[in-house]
Amino acid sequence: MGALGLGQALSGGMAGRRHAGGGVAAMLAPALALLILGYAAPMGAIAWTSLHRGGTMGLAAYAEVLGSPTFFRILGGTLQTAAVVTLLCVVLGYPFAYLVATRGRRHAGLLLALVAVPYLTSILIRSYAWIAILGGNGLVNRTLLALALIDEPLPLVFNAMGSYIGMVHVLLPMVVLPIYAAMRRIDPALPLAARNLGASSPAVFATVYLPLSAPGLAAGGVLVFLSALGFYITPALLGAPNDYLLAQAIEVRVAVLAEFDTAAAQACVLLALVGGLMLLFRRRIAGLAEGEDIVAAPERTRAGAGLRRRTLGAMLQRAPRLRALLAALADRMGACSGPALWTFGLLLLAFLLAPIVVVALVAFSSAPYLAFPPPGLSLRWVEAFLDDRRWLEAAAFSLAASLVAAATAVAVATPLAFALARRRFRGRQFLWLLAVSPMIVPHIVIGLGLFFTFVTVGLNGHPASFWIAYTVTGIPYVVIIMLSALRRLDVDLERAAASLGAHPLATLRTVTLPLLAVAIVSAFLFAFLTAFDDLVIALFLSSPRGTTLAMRMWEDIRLEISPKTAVVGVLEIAVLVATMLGTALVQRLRRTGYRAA
Amino acid sequence: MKIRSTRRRFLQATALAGLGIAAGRLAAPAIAKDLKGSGVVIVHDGGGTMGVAQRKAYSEPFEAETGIRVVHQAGVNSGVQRAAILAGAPKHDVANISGGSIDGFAQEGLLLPIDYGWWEQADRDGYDVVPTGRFHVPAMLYSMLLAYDGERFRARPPASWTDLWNVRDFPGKRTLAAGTNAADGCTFEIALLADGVAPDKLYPLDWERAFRSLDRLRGDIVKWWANGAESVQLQIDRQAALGSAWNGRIDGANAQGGKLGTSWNQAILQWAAWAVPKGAANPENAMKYMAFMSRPEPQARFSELITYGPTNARAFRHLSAERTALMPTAPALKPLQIVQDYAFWNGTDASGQNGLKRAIVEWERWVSARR
Repeated sequence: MGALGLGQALSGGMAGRRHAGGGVAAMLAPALALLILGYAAPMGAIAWTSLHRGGTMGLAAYAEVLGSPTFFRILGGTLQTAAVVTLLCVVLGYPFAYLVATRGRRHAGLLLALVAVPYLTSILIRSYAWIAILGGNGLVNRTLLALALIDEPLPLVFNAMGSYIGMVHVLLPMVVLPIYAAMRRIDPALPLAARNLGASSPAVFATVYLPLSAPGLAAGGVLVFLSALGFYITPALLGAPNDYLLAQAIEVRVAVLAEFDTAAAQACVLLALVGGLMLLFRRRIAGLAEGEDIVAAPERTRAGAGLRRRTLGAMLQRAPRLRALLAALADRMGACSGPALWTFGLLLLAFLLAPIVVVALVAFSSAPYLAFPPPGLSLRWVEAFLDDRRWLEAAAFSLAASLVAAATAVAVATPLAFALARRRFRGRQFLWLLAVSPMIVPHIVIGLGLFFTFVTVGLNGHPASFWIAYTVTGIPYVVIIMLSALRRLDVDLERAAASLGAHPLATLRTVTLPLLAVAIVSAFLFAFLTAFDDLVIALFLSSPRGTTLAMRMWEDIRLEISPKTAVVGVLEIAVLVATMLGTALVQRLRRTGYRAA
Repeated sequence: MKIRSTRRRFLQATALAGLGIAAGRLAAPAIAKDLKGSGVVIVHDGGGTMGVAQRKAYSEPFEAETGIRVVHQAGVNSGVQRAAILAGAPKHDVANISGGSIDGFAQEGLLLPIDYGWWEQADRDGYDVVPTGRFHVPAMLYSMLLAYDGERFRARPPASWTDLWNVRDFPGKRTLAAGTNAADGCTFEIALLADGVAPDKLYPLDWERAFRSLDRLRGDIVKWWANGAESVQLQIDRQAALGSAWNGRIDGANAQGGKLGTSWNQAILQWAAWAVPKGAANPENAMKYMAFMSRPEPQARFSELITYGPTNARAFRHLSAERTALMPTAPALKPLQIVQDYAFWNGTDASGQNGLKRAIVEWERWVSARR
């Protein structure tokens, strides 16, 4: 088959279908190989572990887990937290994406990058920044006290609120980017047509805009929910003293107790529950965005009415109160369009960027320790970072490993998403679940499984082990984001190219991929950042030949939080800004180039 | 610079020691064992100030003396360490394991016996507070103290764990280690001591009573701290007015301008150990490195750089009086403290669980009951 076959398979239109069987195999093979080595095999080892205690096979670990009311309380609390965070992210992220897609298009790149910025700072320093802002002696309380608006500091952190703020802050990009990608694909003629036919603004929004952007909404919601399930450091640092989530219970069993069987059993129960839920509601999720029953030709942009009937519309029919709520929301949004929407957007950006400002100030602090506000400014911590060969080496290693892994994840999982979106073959749902489940299983369990697998196959301590591991953690992002993007891709455009005689590869290059550019970039970004931010898997894989920056920071942070970690965040942001400016410049040059031609 | 001045002081100290030996005042033999060798040894790195201290005090002079290259590799939690040894690929040749976990490792046959043939007998005898073991060598001694806002409580400083529970006389939010830290966090010992349990009756821990005691403080806890950095940062930021923290962390914060007060009364004395995992790639070099670390001079140097007490008492001869006073094993402080009973923590109770497991199971039940 080779490149030609792959191109045909990828473009997936009429031409590709002739090679259906072989095409699907070629599309799946690379992703499958990596998922088997980097995920299925390790998880098999983990499942095996969960079935053995003291050398004998049995269900003792499951009996212990399922017989414990504490486990179910913790599981319930975890699901509830993830649900609340998802809801908050959707409620805040949707209007923001709407703002960017409809009114802020000229600055879309900048606005979206700003949303992604919180992701770029180490989780510990970011949490510290929130404490500096929200704490009893924090910025907010000191300001309010100074203005005599309050007598006592408000409890803004170390409670449920602190936990939600910390989690929403970092998870927001995960809903904003897919929703934005979906909105970008909405034909502006459609809302206009509805309006011309006499629909009010709220009606246009509820019946046209919302259903058409629903796939992005669902993809974002799924991403946030699954990520939130695995969170525990942020709630542990910012949440109420009694916050205790499942990922933490699993982590403690691995890291402190070395009770691998119960840890594995807890992870398997979580995977079974969440995976089961996803399969059970796959029609809903799928109808909105995901793999099940995606016909050979994808839903077309203009097929909005059909989509609405099947999914969101059907839901709305059955839930008049929800419909009323949505209409009211739409009414608000319609009424407050323009200035009010911008105000909301800017407030949201301020919320997202406030801790980053604190981080930046701390990075240039002259204090010998972490203090906010800094007593003075200096470059001592930047110098300390740049003077430290070990940190620089680790930074270079992290950067290389994350870049290569993210590129690999996009390269192998994009064809996988194409196959899931456009081909009918056996075991699609299973494959989809396999590809997204690395997001469900806590990373400490994946790390443990990977470690055993890599030792067995002789990859222990090899830098390639990071590449495989981070590719696997990146694949779910790519699959979920690309699936939602593909659903909105107008296949007629590809067919048009094909009918005009374009080679399948040419169609792919000139039509399909450019249309998917936003999705590909955001998928890459998430895969990259997940790898770069990882600490847990690195704990298992690190060796003198490969130590990541996150591990170096953690090494220091365990005992003292120094402003040096803030420097890393600032440098990461600087790199992001430079990349953005570079991209913008290239785009501008290309646009002028087109015009000249 | 600070480091240079300490190095100078260290050189002076060693020179004095040398004179002492020449004058025949010290009983130790003048010639140390020959540890020369080749290749590498991969050792645990505690990170931050501790990693720097370890490099300056142990690794650099060891390299100079033996020709063996020392590779520092980031430390990992005991569970990860155990997984690595079980898989046959330990992360370090010289591992650092907390005293609360070391017996478990030894019982499961995960460690190599220490080769004391490379040691001076006098140095081995110098391990007086915690003796050396067949599979481990105590690495450093540290203590969990009562720490508080030194300015706020200047007039009447809190002086016991009972005072930490006394919200009326010592108002303000509290922070203690999360129970998931089990033995390392000392929270259960502290809760019982605060409730009036006599130090000699502390073990075996009465879990029910400990949680009843914690029930009373629950509403005044701003945060259960997860790691040493957090324990001190919460107080520096004045989120908490009182709490528990390790002596080295408090000294570190105060050296940088913090104003934390401490009480050594009923502080919990803890230790961590060096050990050589089964399957280590360079076991002989590991044994040599551990023998080097047992010597008094490098130990004194280490304690000059960070306030973790030397395990070999002979190191005190090389420490200044003012530095000695900061060590958990300083003569004036030692009697105030309670040595944590790791035998209890590693032993199994009637339910068949060891102390670590029991602590975490009970903690999860307690903490999740009132979300």
